[in-house]
Amino acid sequence: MLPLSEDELDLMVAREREHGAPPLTDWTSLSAALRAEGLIQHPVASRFAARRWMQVAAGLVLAIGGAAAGRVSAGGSLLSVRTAESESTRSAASSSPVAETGAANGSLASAQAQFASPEEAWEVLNRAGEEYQRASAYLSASNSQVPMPSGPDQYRTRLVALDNVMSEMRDALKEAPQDPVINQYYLATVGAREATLRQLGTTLPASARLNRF
Amino acid sequence: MQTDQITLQRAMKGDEAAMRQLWLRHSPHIDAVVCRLCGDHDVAADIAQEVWIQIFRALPGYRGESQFGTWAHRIAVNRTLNALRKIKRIAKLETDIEDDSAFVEGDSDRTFLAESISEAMEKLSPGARMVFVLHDIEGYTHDEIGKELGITSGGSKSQLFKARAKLRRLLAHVVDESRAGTGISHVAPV
Repeated sequence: MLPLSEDELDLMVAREREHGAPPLTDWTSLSAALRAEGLIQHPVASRFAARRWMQVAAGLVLAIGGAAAGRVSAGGSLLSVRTAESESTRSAASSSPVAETGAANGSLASAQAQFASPEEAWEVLNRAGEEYQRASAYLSASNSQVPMPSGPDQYRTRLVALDNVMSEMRDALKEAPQDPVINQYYLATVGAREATLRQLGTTLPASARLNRF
Repeated sequence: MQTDQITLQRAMKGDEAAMRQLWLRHSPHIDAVVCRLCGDHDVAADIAQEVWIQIFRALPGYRGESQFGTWAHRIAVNRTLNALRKIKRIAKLETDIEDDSAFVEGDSDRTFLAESISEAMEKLSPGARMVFVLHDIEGYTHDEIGKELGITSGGSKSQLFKARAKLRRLLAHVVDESRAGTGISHVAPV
């Protein structure tokens, strides 16, 4: 039996080069190892769930955003502010997954059990957003007793935090552009940021101009 | 093979779906080189997992200077050689490479007829197989092989010559059968 010629061997080698192999490992075990190494990030939803501070920050944005904006103007009774605060908090709780358990006493929580369709859920969600806006507007016109930042530095600190939240939300929106909860958090954060910028503007000397913080 | 930039970027951020996509797309060739270098399926299976972990660990450092597949291939070769060193296989291999007696055939080799080149490669000594795979299949130069395996360039050439001679003999019957009438297109593994 004659051995292969060099050319015949080269031909076989060339074919072998293109020849793949069945996977030596399976994704289940590989992904488990990658997860253990911290190389796989958690899915968006659980990533946010894991970042408690993000949730708290977003919840606070909803709750105090309107109140912060209200600090710009003076006046209003303590009673009305407290009423508005509770309204705002309830509204925030209703639209926030962070406070889903706390929302058990709110009207939205009871409505959740009665959703007949996604359209109806959307309607409730939109209504909650409108309530939030209304409460914010009310607080804007009637603040007085809510402890607020006393100087520009504290507003800047808040802006940094809000920017961090917005950045995370933008990333999340790229992956889940239709997610209503992420959308709401993002819009609420944008609103709170604008309100904070306005407030920061009122604390600066008249000659100073706000270009960046 | 063009790897989608978005997939790469997502994988760099730890997106599991994107990482899985990269693995699915490239594992046939990455795992093949691991398998060829190891010459033992069980050992290769263990090392393949390490290889893929290393690829994903290094992914944030991938700058796109070469194709992802080429870049990952290099990691696979390096990681496999390191892993084999770790399990003391390379130590024997490096001795074998400098020692011509490693090429002496056993009785079983004289009667063995491989059905495919991959099967024939398993009959090579570890050193000869490494050099053959790195040079003829992976396209490394003898200098590169020398650096990778800690041998001289001449040692690499010598080992390659012997590996090819043995493969030509082990696979002779495959071509003989095709010479008999079925055509050379049947010699390659399916």
